[in-house]
Amino acid sequence: MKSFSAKRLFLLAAGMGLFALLLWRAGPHDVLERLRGLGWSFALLLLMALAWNTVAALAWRILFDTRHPSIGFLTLWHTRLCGEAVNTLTPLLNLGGEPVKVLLIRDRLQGDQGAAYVLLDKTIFFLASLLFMASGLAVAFFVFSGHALVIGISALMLSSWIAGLLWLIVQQRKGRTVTAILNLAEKVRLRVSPQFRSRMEEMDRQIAVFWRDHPGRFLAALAIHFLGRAIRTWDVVLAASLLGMKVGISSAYVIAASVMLINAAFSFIPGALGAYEGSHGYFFSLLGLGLDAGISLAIIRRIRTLLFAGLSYLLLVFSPRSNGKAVAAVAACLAAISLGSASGVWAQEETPPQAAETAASSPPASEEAKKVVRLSLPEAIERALQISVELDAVRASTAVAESYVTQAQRARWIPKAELTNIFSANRESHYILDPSEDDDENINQDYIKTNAGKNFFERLSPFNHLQIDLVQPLYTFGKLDAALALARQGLEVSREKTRGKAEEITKRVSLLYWGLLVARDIDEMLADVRKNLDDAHAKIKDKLERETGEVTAIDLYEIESFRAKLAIKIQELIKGRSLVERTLALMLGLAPDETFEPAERRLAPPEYELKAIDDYRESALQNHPEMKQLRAGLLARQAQVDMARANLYPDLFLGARLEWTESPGHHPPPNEPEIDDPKRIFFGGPFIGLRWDLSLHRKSAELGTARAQLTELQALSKAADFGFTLRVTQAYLEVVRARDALEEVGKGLQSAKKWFRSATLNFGIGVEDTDGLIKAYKEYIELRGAHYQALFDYHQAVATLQQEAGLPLLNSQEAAAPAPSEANP
Amino acid sequence: MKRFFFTVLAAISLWLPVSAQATAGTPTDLLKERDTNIRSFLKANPLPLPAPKRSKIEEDLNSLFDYETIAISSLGAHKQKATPKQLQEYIRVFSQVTRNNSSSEDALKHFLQSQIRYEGEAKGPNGATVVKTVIIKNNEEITVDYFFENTKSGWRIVNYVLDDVDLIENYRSSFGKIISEKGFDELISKLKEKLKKKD
Repeated sequence: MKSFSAKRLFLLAAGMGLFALLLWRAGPHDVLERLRGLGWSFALLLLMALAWNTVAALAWRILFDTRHPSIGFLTLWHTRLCGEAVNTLTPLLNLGGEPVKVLLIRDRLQGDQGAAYVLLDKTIFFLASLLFMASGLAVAFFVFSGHALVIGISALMLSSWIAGLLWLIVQQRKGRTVTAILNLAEKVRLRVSPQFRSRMEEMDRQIAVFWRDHPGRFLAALAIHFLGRAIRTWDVVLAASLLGMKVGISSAYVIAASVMLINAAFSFIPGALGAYEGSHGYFFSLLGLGLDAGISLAIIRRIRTLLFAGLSYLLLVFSPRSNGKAVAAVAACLAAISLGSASGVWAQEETPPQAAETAASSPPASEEAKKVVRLSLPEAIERALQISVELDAVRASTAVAESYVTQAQRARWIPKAELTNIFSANRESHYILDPSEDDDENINQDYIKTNAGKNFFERLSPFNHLQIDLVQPLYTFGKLDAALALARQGLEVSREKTRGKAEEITKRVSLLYWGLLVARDIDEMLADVRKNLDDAHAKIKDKLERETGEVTAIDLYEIESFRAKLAIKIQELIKGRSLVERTLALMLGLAPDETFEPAERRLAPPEYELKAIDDYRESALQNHPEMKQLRAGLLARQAQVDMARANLYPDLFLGARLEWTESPGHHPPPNEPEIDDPKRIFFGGPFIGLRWDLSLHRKSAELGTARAQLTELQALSKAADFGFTLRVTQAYLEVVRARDALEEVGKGLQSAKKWFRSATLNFGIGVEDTDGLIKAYKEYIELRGAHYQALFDYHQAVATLQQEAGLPLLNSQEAAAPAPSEANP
Repeated sequence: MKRFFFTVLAAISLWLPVSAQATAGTPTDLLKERDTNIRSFLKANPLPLPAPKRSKIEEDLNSLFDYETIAISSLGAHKQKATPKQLQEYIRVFSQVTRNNSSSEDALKHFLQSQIRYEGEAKGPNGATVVKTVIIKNNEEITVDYFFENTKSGWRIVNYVLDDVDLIENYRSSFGKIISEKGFDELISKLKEKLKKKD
């Protein structure tokens, strides 16, 4: 009893240790903050996890004979919760808990039945998961109709997994899954005892028997597992609503399935870094809900998974259903893991293959332990552009548009070729030539005999018809040119969208980068100020105690008040800086053990020459991606008008046809050999053709519609011209304001600095009191802070103007400033 | 708090005087030599300094500092309002306060934690030579321009400009206000009060 208790105690300590490690890596402060934000409603998410685990346990129960007395639903439910807890807490690709399941039920079943049923359940669970992903993809086809390439690649990947799993099931049906692994082990010279082999063969046999004898149970379990996976949809809806977002059922279904799929795809990454949160963010951004919202949701779901695993683990430790062998085995396993891989990252959402950790959810781990990634602004931008999923999505659209152009070009110059072959049975007009009849006068009645007297099958004979057509348009009244123009403008729109997205990312990275530089400067300044204030506080206090008469209690209060305000500023700064660093880390795809550091020392004022406002207005109209898209759109609409007009007229084309029809056993009437027999044709030759859709009333209406749409877009274009002029004007005025503000704050800072220096000199000689000195210092510090803010605002304003004017942002980069000389005199 | 600012001021004044023996070379050379000597001395003698060593470094720091000229220049036109006795007393107290500032323990620590960048010399008014320097501490830069005059005793610092704040002009306006409002004795009284509060 004593040893049993010790095992459980160790199990508790090891498990809680792993739990604490995962919690620490997830950032306990963040976790607490988010839990506080959600309050008791977080329990609903735990209930959701309980729901799908319960449904999965039910599916498992279905596999067993319902009359089986020793293996009830509650046992399997308990076993599953415990096993999945170990799966989550251990870095073993979601398989670490499976042996635990076997150990927990082995005493209730004969031989190795437990292992067989765990393997079967896992296989069916995987299959249900893959089917859920496939159904999610099908829904995605409608929800994300513009991302056919992504969906296509996903479908391809999923198909290969399903094929792999089906192959495994076939092997299981043949009863050679586990033994095949043993054979492989022996090939690499691992020794397998005959007893063990015999047991494994028995297990294979049991699995094969299940597949052979219980297809009904398999289908029922599959359906219930599928239902369990589908509960994830409601989980997404619930988690989103707790965060104040509204996600439709179809979108949630797609997100649940797609996240599962992406996690599976990235399960090969140790710790599956970033995939889980990244996939949430990606799909949320596609739905227009924002990247940040998706990441927040992912973090909440991950916290839930972790806490649910922790609670389930307690069940393993304290439940009387957990037998001693299982407890001992898990304890040993966790001990090995704790010793061997305490530095790993493996907190994962439970998915078939496994999920991910992320820069955003992870850890403000100790900075000293992190690898520093030092990049200049252009390098950071380049890296962000390379890994941006948002940009990839837009680029994929461009690839589609390029394919349309290729199609249109080929339609213009490459003839359309078509081959049709029909192979069938012929049962009509089966003529029989009977040479014994030679009566010219009665040839029609006696020489030709039809099949009228034969039955259906006797009348059948093979029939083949082959037809090859080549059609080259000669003159289409501009249809092909219009189609090509339409495709080209579509491509132009797509390219400009890509450029716009790249500029957007560039600006976002730039602002974060500058923000980080400014935050670092302010951080240093505040740290210095805090040190000075602490020093001053200690000395004033000392002088007050010694009653030197130099200072009063008011001086002390003033310092304390100043210090409190400073502490608030420092807290705000830490929070803001942390957010900036995490966002940048996410955009740069940094690993959790990496931290970003700007290569530049500090933010210098932009060396920016402001041109005349008309230059920017002109540039915006010419170069802004949206304006270019609009212009391309106008040309596309014009092409549509041209196309609609051309549709009023016929197409002239040059064609060639080869036609061959043969029906063996069929013969034409001998007295009419020159008559065209539809069952025996061989014909070929060129022709000139004309095709004309004479629904001119409809075509005419379509032309009217195209013209109206063109007019509408022209009107929109004029409105956009006006809108852009306003936007550029606003951005321009903001640059002027920010520049002037920086100049004024700079002057103010100079004055405050002089005031402070002067007060310092006077204080030193005894003609200034403490109060006057503190006031001067406060003013100086406040203006230094305002100067940093004004500097950042000016950078931001310049970047916005460049972006609105359609000018490259990097031309305004000048942020690099050399570090102050370290010259030692 | 006030000690901190006091030490900043005092530390700045540390760079002002040069050794009495160092009469050769340009003002920049003298400043560099003095800086090296002070650093060597402070490295060899950890703070706090015992009384004899503190007196020594105070002497070394201040012997070339022309306090009399600075004190009189700081009065401007108000010099006429002082009696010879008041003027003598004022110069004595002013010099002593400044000497105390420069050799305080905080000032010496501040000196050790800072670096100086010498940025050349320029011609100043009345034949003065201006030595431009930048003091760097905690990423903050303070520009200090020293005004040297070649007197019978050699090069002496007669003024300095700290981040665009002229020492003489600053004192002149502050002292002038006190003298105008409360008389010369009040100024001497304030300086004496400061002298009493030395570390």
